[in-house]
Amino acid sequence: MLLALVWKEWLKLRPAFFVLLAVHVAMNVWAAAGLRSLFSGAHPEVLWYQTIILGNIHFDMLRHVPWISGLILAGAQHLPEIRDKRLRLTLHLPVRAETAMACSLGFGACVFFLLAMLDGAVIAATDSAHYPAEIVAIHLWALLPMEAAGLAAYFGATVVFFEPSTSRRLHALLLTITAVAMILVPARPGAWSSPGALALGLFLLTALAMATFLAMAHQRLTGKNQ
Amino acid sequence: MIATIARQGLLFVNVLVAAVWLPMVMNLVLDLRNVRSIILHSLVSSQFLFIEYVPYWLRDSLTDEQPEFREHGMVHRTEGRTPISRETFENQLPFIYSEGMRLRGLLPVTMNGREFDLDALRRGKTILGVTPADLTRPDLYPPLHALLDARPDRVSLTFPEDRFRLRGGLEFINADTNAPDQKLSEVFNQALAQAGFNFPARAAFGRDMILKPWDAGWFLLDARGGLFNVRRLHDKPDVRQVALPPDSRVAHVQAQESRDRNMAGLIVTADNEVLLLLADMTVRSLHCPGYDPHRHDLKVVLDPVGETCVFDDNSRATALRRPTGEQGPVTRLDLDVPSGGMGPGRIASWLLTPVRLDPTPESTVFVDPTLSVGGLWSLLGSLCWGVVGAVCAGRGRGQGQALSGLIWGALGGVAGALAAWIWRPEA
Repeated sequence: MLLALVWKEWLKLRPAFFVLLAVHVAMNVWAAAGLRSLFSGAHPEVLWYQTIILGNIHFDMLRHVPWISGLILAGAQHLPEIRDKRLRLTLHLPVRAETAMACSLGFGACVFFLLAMLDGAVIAATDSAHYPAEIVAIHLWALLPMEAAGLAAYFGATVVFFEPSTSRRLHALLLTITAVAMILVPARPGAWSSPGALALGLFLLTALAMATFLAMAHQRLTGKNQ
Repeated sequence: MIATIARQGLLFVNVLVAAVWLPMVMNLVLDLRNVRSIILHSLVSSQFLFIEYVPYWLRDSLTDEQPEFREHGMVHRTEGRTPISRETFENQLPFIYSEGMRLRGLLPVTMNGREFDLDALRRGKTILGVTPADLTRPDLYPPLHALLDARPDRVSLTFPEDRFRLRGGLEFINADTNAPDQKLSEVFNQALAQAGFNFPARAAFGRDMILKPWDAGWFLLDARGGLFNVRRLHDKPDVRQVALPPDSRVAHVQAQESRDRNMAGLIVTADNEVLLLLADMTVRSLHCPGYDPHRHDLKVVLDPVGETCVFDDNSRATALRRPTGEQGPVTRLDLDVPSGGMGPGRIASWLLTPVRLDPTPESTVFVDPTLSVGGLWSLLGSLCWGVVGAVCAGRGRGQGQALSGLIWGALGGVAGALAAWIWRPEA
């Protein structure tokens, strides 16, 4: 049954995933080409200085791609469920509603991870050709909040889609926007590597992921949107 | 059970984001700026002068003779708190405002029996400083340091093609090949060993830029706490040990090459002492009792007849003046920063959001979420919104929900109470 649920999620996500994959590949190719162009037109030591001291990152165009990807994934995966009372069908499957929800959310998160891993792998690979390990590491740390914002947008949008009450839906939307904005607060590359920042980010993601189960419970109680 | 945990988690998220964004919005809407005071010492009038920002709720206390102060709130004062005009203020500080005095035709100026023209004023002023964020910077910036060629015959500084990292000793990496330069590394490590450096190197401090008058090189902390200066002269190493006072443990070196080529920076010790690092690698103790490097911004102003240490945070500023040569009386000025106090707007802000979360505090370059509370007003706000949250969330839902509303209302203020009411379980 779980495999069937995964297959259903994949069928819903497949078009969005391939579109987003193409967008991520295009953005990464753009970033890699930009880095190559930088090194062919300037002294490497000056570019190292700009990266180490000024905190310039060549993949800043990726900043808004992950959270938009999270929104698109959540929309592609969950909007079909809340239309025409389709969620009722899922809730009547011979699995617990929480299991079905965990399966759906886990699969969506895995798809997002694939896109995030692609970003990380391309940045690490292109960086390694021009920069020492310390700079590669700081660039991956810089990518982390961008991807975390994407995951927060995915979970938050899922809560907004599933929550039947208008007031709660609006509040969940406000929480999602403010949480994503907090993760994307302007900071130096690597600034999120402090234990306090990591704990805050991890808690935000966990709580937003958990909140989807609350929204699902409200769906079952009220019967709205089913 | 999952729904209960999820609800409490969501309400906690609500408290966190409200504690970040609501105070920020309140600060913008109610103009709750926190502007630090600036204290300087005047050799002309032999007293401290300062600029302070008077927030709008205190501007009624300004006299009617100074209508311009009511507009922007920046007031120039003597240490006796007498308001003075901006021009008078500048004319009493020739080392800082030498160009303005030249335009007004007030140069040369005589101070302490000595005459100073524009050039002497420019050369006579040195300002050094260190902030709490500076202390955290080496932990965040990628530890790859540029050792410039500090040869004195060169017109301007340029970046070398390599940078060094600490791997026991120094390991140079060439930027052209992105690979270690073993030969250069060995040359510098041998020079360090000959100068008495105890490997492994624990930390490196320096000013990684070329827009400076000269290059003091890098300061390396060895395994036994010794501080060594390493420079590159005509691509050859030049290593000197810094003459630290006995029992001094270096916490941070703020390299700042002065224009007159006499000062190389400041050293902050583990005991919060501040040492002036001279270009010949000797040190001189500065008189800064009460300075906390993790809380205060420090500014050291050196002039030909004395030194002034000013350290401040958002609520208090302290200045100490000591004549050069460590002789004579030390004068001191302590000021409360007016905008750091409680005003009606700030009270309203604390009442609405009793707990604040600052994700990017000034004291660090990291994202480091820091909680703060506003004393009695926070307590009052917590009580009010806790009760409101308990009543709203608990009505018809039992004691458990009332307790939840009480907790989230007390922590999150208006946002916490509202969220507890919105997300209460169905009846």
